[in-house]
Amino acid sequence: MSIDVEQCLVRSATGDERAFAELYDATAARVFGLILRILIDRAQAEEVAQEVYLEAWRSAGRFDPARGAAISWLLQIAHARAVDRVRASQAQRDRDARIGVRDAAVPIDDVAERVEVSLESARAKRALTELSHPQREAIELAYFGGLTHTEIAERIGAPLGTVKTRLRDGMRRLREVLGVAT
Amino acid sequence: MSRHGGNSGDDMNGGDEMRDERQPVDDLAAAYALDALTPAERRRFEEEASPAARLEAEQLAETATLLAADEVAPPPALRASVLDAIRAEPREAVAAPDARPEPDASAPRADDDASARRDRTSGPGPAERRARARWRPVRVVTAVAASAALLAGGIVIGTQLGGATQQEELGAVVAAADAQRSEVELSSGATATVIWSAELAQSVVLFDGLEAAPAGHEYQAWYIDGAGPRSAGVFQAAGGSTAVLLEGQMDAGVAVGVTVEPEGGSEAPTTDPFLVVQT
Repeated sequence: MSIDVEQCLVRSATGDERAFAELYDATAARVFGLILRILIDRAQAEEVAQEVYLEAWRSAGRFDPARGAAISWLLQIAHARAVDRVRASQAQRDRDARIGVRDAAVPIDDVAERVEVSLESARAKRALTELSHPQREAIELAYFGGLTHTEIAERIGAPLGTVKTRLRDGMRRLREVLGVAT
Repeated sequence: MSRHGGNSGDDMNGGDEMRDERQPVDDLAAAYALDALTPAERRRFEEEASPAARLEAEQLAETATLLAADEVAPPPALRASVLDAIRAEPREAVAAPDARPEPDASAPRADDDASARRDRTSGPGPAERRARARWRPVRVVTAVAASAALLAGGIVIGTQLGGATQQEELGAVVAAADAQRSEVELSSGATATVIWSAELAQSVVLFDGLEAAPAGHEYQAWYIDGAGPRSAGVFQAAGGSTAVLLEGQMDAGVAVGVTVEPEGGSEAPTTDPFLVVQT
């Protein structure tokens, strides 16, 4: 990335609107990509993206560049807000109605059919193939499906303790494979 | 402290259903990192987890963001709306959790993005309803055929991609080790990303926001080299995201172009291309 996103976020904390605009330009496609993938609905994704950037502006002072990358900080806010939205009852019903067919029709391990949009996501996809199928399934249902671990257990018919173990071992393995955020 | 920018208000509304489980709270680190806890569980982790588990949760949360690798350009109006909203935000004010930006009718508005602000901050306006109306039917129509694509990337594959084979080919191009890409903003405001693999001799164009062609017309892709343009297939769009796998073999160094043509396509382009990308 050609601009220093961390510096943009730090400067935003002082009220620097131009720095915040640069931050937006450097990150919006990835932030929006994540929100859209979770919410599916474009109009809702736009609303949540707006909330995410407003929250980032308000809480930029809490960002600590020593503790992680700015993009990662933003994506964590985006993920939390998108999941909040997907769990709001109406959104959940809408989403279930739209994608129930999808979940039923697509074997979760059928990676050959998946379409990715960037080399980065191809890398993430490859990393996911390093996991066992049950680990990958649990992580994807959590991260992209917005399900809680209890809901995942119900969905796949496994004990909660098993799901916890899959999430933990899977995420640790993923961290080994992918390394730290760039 | 929450690892997110602010504690959300719904943290206070959760039940205590997990208290009875007597699970070691540190076991929740990965689920916490994935936002896969109920508000009550999340709060419990934040209050009771060991420092080591909290550090692990922080690390795993960062790892999880590497999964969020798909890029989808948001509409330009969102940028104006976001920048407008932060200007309206008093810097020192500590906003209530989950407070939404309130449209301030008395505040002077910047002329250039006043309409964007109206669309975004006062509930679904006409433009937003139009956007929803435009998006929904496409998604329903393609939900089954493109289900794998939706699951993976939030991309709606256009109706021209009927079969799993084409989706696989499209995915192979995008994920190819030698894949190269070029992103172009079109004059209509839509964006086009051309991705090609010399090794596979194939290319893909991803559109975001490409509207339907005029009635009786379709889009047609072309490979253009010294010998002139060669058809690479016709396709349709309906706003939102459209992914097109170009037909035929892509020779190294050709340009990829797209024109509007009468339904069924043309032998040679009859209009100027609105997209040309040199591979």
